[in-house]
Amino acid sequence: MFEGKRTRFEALVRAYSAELYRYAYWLCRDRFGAEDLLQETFARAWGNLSALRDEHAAKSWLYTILRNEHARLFERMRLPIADDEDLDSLADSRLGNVHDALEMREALHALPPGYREPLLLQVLGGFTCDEIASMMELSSGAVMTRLSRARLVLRRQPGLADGAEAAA
Amino acid sequence: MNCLAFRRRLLAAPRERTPAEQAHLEGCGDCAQLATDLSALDRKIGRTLRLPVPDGLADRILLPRLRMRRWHYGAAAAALAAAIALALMLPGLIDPDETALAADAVGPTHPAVAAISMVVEQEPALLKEGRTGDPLVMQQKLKYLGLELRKSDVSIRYIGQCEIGGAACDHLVLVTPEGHVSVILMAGEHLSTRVLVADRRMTALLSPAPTAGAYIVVAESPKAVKRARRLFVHG
Repeated sequence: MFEGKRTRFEALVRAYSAELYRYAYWLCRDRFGAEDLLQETFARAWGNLSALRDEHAAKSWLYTILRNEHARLFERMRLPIADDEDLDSLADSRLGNVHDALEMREALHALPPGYREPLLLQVLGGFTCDEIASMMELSSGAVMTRLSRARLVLRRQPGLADGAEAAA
Repeated sequence: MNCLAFRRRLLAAPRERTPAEQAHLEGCGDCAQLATDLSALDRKIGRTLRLPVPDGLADRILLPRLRMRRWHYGAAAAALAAAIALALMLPGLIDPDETALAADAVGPTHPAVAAISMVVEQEPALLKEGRTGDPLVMQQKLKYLGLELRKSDVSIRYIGQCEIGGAACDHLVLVTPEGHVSVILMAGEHLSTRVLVADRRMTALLSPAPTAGAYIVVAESPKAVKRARRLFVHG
């Protein structure tokens, strides 16, 4: 029984640790913190593995655990965000000097967490708007608004839109 | 579908496309250009997000569980021997009829439920940190409650402090032949009867201590808790 649990757990770790590490990094923006967060996430997953009945739900289950662990460790149960937050000023002031290879990273770092997180879940995790809404306990409309605004900000940065067009 | 609705949707979810959106895309050059630009933007975002992952990450996550497996098999024979020894030595002390209360019956703030939460949620991180307190200090604290750890095939894995219901408590993790057993000493708690509570696949036994305060034993089953309680003798 223990061996079966360990085998199942190992399969989850091998399949998802890399992408969860990246998600953790972009949540806490620190490589060591990301690995600690990942360890906590899998420790929790190990303890509650019997609660995972559908293997198809494993990915969203692990993302949700990681997200909750991050909230618990950083005492941030909900993302402080107002939908009318002025992202125009963010684009003009905080990102004015970004350049070349660092520009997208800087731009992503500068996004408010409430805008960055659904973007991470969508681009990195491959989740749909409805799935993100469920994980973040938001309405689907709110998620779509945040995703739209995040992309508008990123697109507005000098060089990013040009880069996007060049890449197309 | 008009251009405004299409673009709103496109900005939020460039990869999710309904048949109506696809039809609009094929008939509108401006929106098709925007879709191309946003796809390129998303590729750039994706490349940035996909950081290199540290070498050996999965192995480091799995390592504690591999160690647990080695301990698990190595301790199996000892666990069996200990169980037999306990059954022989203490036939009248285990009350098979005592059933554990559900957490709902006593409420989430009950010390036994709070102790289980602490063990499930915080203890793994404490064990991982590897820090531990002074065994002599813990011995004195046990003595204050009128307890003494029976000398047997039990080792102390962790000594520290925790908070249960807002009160600072002493926290002890023992490695017994039946697995990890957590013991929480509550010097300030006053009880007259013991309470057995089950929650989250764990069982906690809250007992009055012989001379002062109370203590909680948390383990994976009622039987393990009751047996673990026998690890203590009245000091």
